[in-house]
Parts: sequence; C-alpha cells; structure tokens
Amino acid sequence: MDLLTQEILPEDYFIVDEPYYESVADEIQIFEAAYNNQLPVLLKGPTGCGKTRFMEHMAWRLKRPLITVSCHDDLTASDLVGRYLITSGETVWVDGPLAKSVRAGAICYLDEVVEARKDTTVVIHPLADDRRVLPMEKKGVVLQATDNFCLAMSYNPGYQSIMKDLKQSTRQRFVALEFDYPGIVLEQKILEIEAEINAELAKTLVKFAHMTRNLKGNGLDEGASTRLLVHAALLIKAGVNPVAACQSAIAQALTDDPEMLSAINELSASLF
Amino acid sequence: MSYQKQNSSFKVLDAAQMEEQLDCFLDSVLSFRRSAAGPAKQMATLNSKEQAFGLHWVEIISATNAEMAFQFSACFSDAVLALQHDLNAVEHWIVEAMSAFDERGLQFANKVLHNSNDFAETYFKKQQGILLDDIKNLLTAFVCGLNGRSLKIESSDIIYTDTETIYLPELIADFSRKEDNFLYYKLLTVYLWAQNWFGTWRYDLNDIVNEYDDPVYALKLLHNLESIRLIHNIQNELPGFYRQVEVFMDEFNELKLNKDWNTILVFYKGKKSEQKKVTIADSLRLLKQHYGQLNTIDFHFQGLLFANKVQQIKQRRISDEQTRFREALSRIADEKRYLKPEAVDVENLTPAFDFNVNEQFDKDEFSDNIVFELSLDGQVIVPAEDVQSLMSSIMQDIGEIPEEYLVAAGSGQYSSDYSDKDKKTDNVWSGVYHEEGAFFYDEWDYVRQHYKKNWCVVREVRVPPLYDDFVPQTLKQYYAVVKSLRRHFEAIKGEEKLLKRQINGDDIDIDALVESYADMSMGMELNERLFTRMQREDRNIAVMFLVDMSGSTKGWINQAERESLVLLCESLSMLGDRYAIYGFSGTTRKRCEIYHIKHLDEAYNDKVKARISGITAKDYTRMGFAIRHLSGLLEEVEAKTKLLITLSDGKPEDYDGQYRGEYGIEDTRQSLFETRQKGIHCYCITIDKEAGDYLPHMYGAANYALIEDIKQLPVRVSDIYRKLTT
Repeated sequence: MDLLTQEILPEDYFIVDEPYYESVADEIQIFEAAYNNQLPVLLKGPTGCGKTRFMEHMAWRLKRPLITVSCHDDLTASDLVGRYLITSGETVWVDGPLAKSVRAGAICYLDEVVEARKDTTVVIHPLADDRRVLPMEKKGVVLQATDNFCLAMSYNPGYQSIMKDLKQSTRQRFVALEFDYPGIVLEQKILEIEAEINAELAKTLVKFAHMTRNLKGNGLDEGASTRLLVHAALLIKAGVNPVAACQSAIAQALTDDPEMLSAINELSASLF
Repeated sequence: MSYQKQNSSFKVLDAAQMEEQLDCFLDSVLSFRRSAAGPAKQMATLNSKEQAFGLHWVEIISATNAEMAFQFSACFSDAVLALQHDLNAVEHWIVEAMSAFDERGLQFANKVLHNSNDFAETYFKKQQGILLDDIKNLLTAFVCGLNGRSLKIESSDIIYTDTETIYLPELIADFSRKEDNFLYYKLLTVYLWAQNWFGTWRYDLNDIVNEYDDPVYALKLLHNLESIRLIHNIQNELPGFYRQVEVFMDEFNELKLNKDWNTILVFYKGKKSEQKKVTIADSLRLLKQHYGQLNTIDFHFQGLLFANKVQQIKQRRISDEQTRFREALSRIADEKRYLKPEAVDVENLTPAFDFNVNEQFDKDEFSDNIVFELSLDGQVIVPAEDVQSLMSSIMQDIGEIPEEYLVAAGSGQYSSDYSDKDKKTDNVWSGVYHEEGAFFYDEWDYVRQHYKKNWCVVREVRVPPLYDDFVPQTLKQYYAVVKSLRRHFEAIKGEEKLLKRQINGDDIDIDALVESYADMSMGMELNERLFTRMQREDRNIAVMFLVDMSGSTKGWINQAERESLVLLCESLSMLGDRYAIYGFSGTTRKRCEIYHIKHLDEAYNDKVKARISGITAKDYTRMGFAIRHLSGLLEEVEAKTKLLITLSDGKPEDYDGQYRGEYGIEDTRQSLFETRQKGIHCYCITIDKEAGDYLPHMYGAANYALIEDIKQLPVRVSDIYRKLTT
C-alpha cells in the first residue's frame, strides 16, 4: 500500500468533545491572550500534571486542530519541516507536522521538547518570534504562518540535566506557563470527575500521592503524578484491592528499587 | 572451599588421629602441660563432615593467631552441638569470634568462642527476628513519606526520639513470625514519628511537669495521655496501618475496661465525632484534670520521653533555622528585585515579607496538609523546595512563622555556616582520634574467605592547592605532544557522521539515486536505500582516575604522574568526557585517605590545576578501599560507559605488613571484582616492571598497561585513554 495516501489531514485533528480540564489559576486566560497575540507558549511542569490535557482543552476551546509531536533524541529538523521522498523514480516533497500546522493554521504542540536535538529546536526560532515564518531550506521557500497558527511546547524542568536544557535563545521566545500538581482539594475533584470515584477514596489517594511526593529527592526522582492517581483510581473502581492497585499503578511506575518499592507499599497499606 | 574438597575423601578420625592433625597447626602453642589431646577427643565425637570443617578452620585461624586456634579447637564441638549441627551457623560464630579478635583482641575473641550457647541463642533469635540494619533504609523512606521533617533511624537500647532521629532496638525477635517482628518495628517507628508530627514536642515538657509536685509521675502520666492521643490520631490518619498493628494493642484496648481511663478514651471519641483535631494542648488539659487520679501504665511501644535531649536539639535547630530562613528570604528578595529593575529606589526599602497558613481542608478536620503562602511586597511567591521544607520544619517546631523570622537577613550581618565545619575531614587528625565523618569499607580476607566488616576507615581529604607555574611549564615542555594529542582527540570527538544509502533519512543520496535510476531504466528493481542520514555519536563516558600517591612515588614518578594528569586534562577537556581525579594513600586501615583533586562535575579550572601541582608523595598503597570508594561514587553517576583507571607504581602494600603480598593483591582483586559487578570497567596503568606477576591476576590479562620508561608516562597515559575509549 502506498504510505503517502495514508496521510492524515490537519482537519482530522479537530477535537470535538470537550476534554475535561480543571483550571488551576489563570492559565486559560493567559493562553488565550497569547494565542490572540500570536505569541508562542511554553508549558513547564512535571510529568503527568496535565500539560497535554490542557493543550487538548485549549485546542477545543479555540476550535483549532491540534498536531502533537512527541520529541525524541533522534528527531531531526526534516522530521518537523518535511522531506523529499522518492516514489516511482520521482522525488516528492512531503510536509512535516510543523509545516502542516503552519499551512493549516493549527496548533502545533511539541511535547517534551528538550528531548529533541539542539539543532532541531533551532528551526522553530523564526516561527517563534514576530516573523512567524518557517524557512523550508530544502525547497527554498519560506512559509508564512497565518494568524490562526500557534506554536506550543512543553518541557519538564524536573529531570533536567546539563545535557538536556533549553537554550536561552529558544526559551526566551515563549510565553511560559508553569504547571504543577494541583492543590489537594482540586486534585481530589479531578480524581472524582476523571475516574468517577467517591470523595473518600479520592481524598485517600491524594494523601498517598503527597506521601510519595515527600519522597522526592529522598530515593524517588518524582512523586506520583495526577495521571498515576487516575490510573490507580480506575483500577480500584474496577474492583482491584486498593493496596494492590497503588502498587501496580503507582509504586511500580515510580521506581524499580526494591527498598523504595516496599516503603511505598507500606505507605499505601497504611492508608487503606 | 578446601574442606569441601577434602570432604569427599574424609574418613572419621579417631582421637589419636585428630590429635596428630591438630598438632600440625597448633604446634607453637602446645607444650608439656598443654596438649591437643583434650580438644582432639571432643572433636573425635563429631561426624566426618564436621571434623573436616573444624580442621579447615583451625588451619585458617592458626594463620591469624595460634592461641585463638587452640581455643577454637577446644570449643568447636560444643558449638556444633549448641548450634544444632548447622555448619552455616557455626561459620557465623567463627567469623564473629575472628571479628572480635580483629577489633578488640584475643580476650574478646575467647569470650565469643567460649560462649557458644549465648551465640546460639541470639543466632536463632535473629533467624526469626528482624535486624534494624536490614530495614533501616526502608523505614527511613517510610517515615520520610509519612510527612514532616525527615527523620533518621538509629539503633539504641532505649526507644525514643530526639526530634531528628528515631531510636529503635537493634533486633526485634519477640514474635515467632518475621512479619510480626517487622510490623512491630513499624509500630514503634510510626509512634515516634507521630510524636514529632503531632506536636508532642511543641512545648518544653520539663517546664510543664516541673509545675507539679511529683514531676516524675506527671511526666509518666503525660506520656500515657500523649500515647492515647497519638494512637487516636494515627487511627484517623493511617487507618490501614492501625488495622495492621491492632494485634499489638491489647493492652491499649483494655483501657476501656478501666473506668478512670475510659473517660479519656471517651473524650477523644467525642472529639472524633465532632471532627475536631486533638493537640498537645488537650493532653495538657487532661493532665491537669486527672493528675493524681490515674495510675500510670507502661505501654510496651511507647519508649521514653527525653525532654532534655529534645530541648537541646530543638534550641539549636530553631536558632539555626531562623538564620537560614532569614538568609533565604534575603536571597529571595534579591532575586525578585533583580527581576524588577524599573524600581530603582527599591533597594533602600526593606522587603516586606508576609506569611499565611492556608489549610485547604476544613480547619477542624484531621488533616496534615497545610499549605503556606509566603508573600513579598504583597505578591505571593513560591519559594524553592529547600525553603519550603525549612518553613515546614519551623512550623513543626513552633506552629507558626513568627514575625521576627520574616525579616530578611541584611548584607554584612552574621552569616551562618552550616556546613558542619567542625566535622571537616581535614580537622579530624588535628584533634583526638575519632571516626566521625569517615566512610567505612569492608576488606576481603582471602584466607578466611570472608569480608572484615567496616575494616577501613576512609576519609576524603583535600590536596592543598599549590599555585605555581607547574601546569604552564608542563604544557610548554610537552608543546608538541599536546598538539598531536589534541589532533588525535579532536578526531574521535563525538562528531556527527553522515550515513549514506539509508532506507530513510533527512536527505536524498544523489549517488544512490542516480545509480538506482540507471538500474531501473535497465529494468532492475529500484534500490530502497536512497537517503542520507546524520547519525550522532554520543560518547557519554564517565571516567575516574585514581592516582597512587604512596611514598614510593616520591621524586620522578610523582613528577611524571602530575605531568600525565596535566596532559590528560588537556586532552579530556577537548573531548568533553566527564572525568574525576582522586589520589589515594594511607597508613594502616585506620587511616585510609582519598585525596580529592577533581570531582566529576568540577570544571578544569585554576584550582584543579593548583591541586594537580600540589600532589605530593604520602604514605602507603592500600588499594582496596580506594577502589571501593571510587566505584561507589561512579555507581551513582549516570553514564553509558564508566571507567576506573588506576595509575600505580607497584603492588598494594601497607605499614601493618599484613596487607603486603597476597593479602593485598587478593583484597584489591576482590574490590575490582565488586567494581566490575557494578558495570564499571577497570584499567590499570603501571610503571612497575614486575607488574606482569600480579596485575593480570588482579585486573585480567588485557586490562593493564605497563610503561617501562617513566618518561613516557605523560605521553602514553592520554594515548592509552584514547585507545580505551574508541
């Protein structure tokens, strides 16, 4: 089968149903203001705290298609912009997701952008300032973004190493929104709605999450994220014993160290 | 083990044969009056396997001390009986006796040997019991997760907490099941954590109980009341935990039957149904109400209250934390103002900090999730994590952040130095000998085939930097070498490579395309490999250099070592590999020293250069501890390739003579073995011409390089490194 015909069009990236999102502060308002002023946005925050969900929510709110690129350390500039492919003796240009978004006036969301190679992040520079253009070197054209286009990216300052840091020249082009795990009451509410569990269970799970977050830096690199709590809540709702659910959905996801695992299991056993 | 080999062909020896065997090993301590007949007679009653085992150990022990070996032979058969013919247990007994000999001498070793019954009792207890050492890390993490200031766990005969450490018994074996013993540890831990977290130490308990005419009784009663309150809180906060430990709570539950005590329980129950928090203030009120009316109880889990100790520690911590907090505030104020340059005259204003506590749940509900807000000039700020934990620790002690804390420390004010300056390793030797702040490492005894526990006392010491022109001089002297090294290293630097003829890639490989176009027009199939792709090669290497700083390196060798390091640093900074340099030397196991020259993440700066220049020849070459220490450091580093390279000038040896020869070689070999198990590659560069005799045994045949001409060392070291890592 010809792979090229499988191409998904930006129109397919519209989000129809409202994704559930609880606003923590004024992030929705700020994002909207940034969008209306054609400013790119940088989402900072630990894993599983709702960055991607926020983007989906915003795309739905602004009624724009959302094209997400999960960055990895082999992601090259041509993976974003596009490349020539060869088919039946001819070269054919294929747009990358970034070029597609620029053309379609979509929201392009680069997830975990620090994972990408440094030379890759540089291609977004002209798009991220007032020029709002995407030079397509290999085609010899410059693509001008429409007013609808929006560039957003996320990164997790938590596991930053010297090797994986955003360049000043990159980060200083963005409006930055900081995300963190929601407060106790809010996180509880999120669990109640997202996983459809009762308030009592949600409260205990949040308490447990805080216990694991206390261990951050004392044996754990990260505490349990809201996403993990939702996972655990879903397992419990499906009839799994709470301690076992916490062990599988949270403890095992956090660490491989047997001592830490048993400490976390003891903690969850203390609560349920 | 050799006795196992003997074992297959070993027949049961009678007393005479046994005596003959023993005579061989114990000759030096036997005389007219003392023969091996007695021990031999006893040992003759054992079976062949046990006899072989006994003789094997007599031989090993006699190599350490013949008298101890004699005593051992006399006690052996009793020990076998006491330990129910479990040779594994007997071996534990022997190792304990030998450790006692190593640490405290023959007298104490004899004590262990002659008290095999006592040993057996604790040994079997330990089998079912739990040792604190085994679960210390688990409990520490557990407490850390629970909440509040992180508490250390230490062993002690008395169960108590001093608000920074929880003291627990070394072994709990009161219950027949291991799980129950562990659970009991957990109960003690949580109970003492609760003292810290639920505010037992909020006030000075001494002041309070001294107001009563019988302070001892008052303290005991208060302790009981507090225990009830804490258990009540634990029950609410950690219901799962309480269910687990309820089996230990009989005594506690029986209080209901006692009319007087029941009123207290009813009081707490009432608070629970009202959903109100109970605090230390409630206990104090109850103490006042019921003083003299209640008989005190000794709950088995409650331990003791050491008000004096707590008060001392608390005072120190409070003043320390106040200083640190105010310093942190001044740091925050500086940062915030830096961000607001338009407010020019703001520098002259005192920053106005404010502090609010925000309990997100209803105030009276049981909740430990307090959120505090710190604001500067009316704006809420989010302090860094260390400041937050500082704030929560202050809150835990005082219950609030007092006004006087909220004044940022001004410039020029007293600045605290909380780096424990009294405990710096450099100062250790200037005073009386003590082992504080030192690392302990086991050492391998090849004769016994066992580790000697915590045998080496290791300290990291600084090399005094010597600011002279050694580095520039060396670079000048080796100008041509440096240039060629740079060229070589440049070539292997993690450059990107253009891979041609790939299935997919960034760009089209024109050559391949033209070729396959030609192929296609000839009716052949189109080649798939038509793209070029950039491939990045990540080196991701962490390397540690361990430099022999023993006395034998004095003069030429030291000079060459330092020159090698200079050239190496030049080359490595070219390459971007992470590297560290440590020196090692020492005299006896009590004084093992690691000299810090460059940490892994330290830049190659003037200070490092001055330290390289300051490397001098020190004492002896005990190697095992140095390798263990560095491999421990390397283990914590994340890198694809980890490398430990030793620069040495000879065999391992030490002042005490024992380390010389095979013992030292075997210990070093064992330490290298441990290192390799951690996934670290070991390599040795030596100038010892006889290295061929022992290095292949220690490092493996391909893992060392011998440089015969010392003048070549500086040039060769970098070269060897290059070859090793490409």
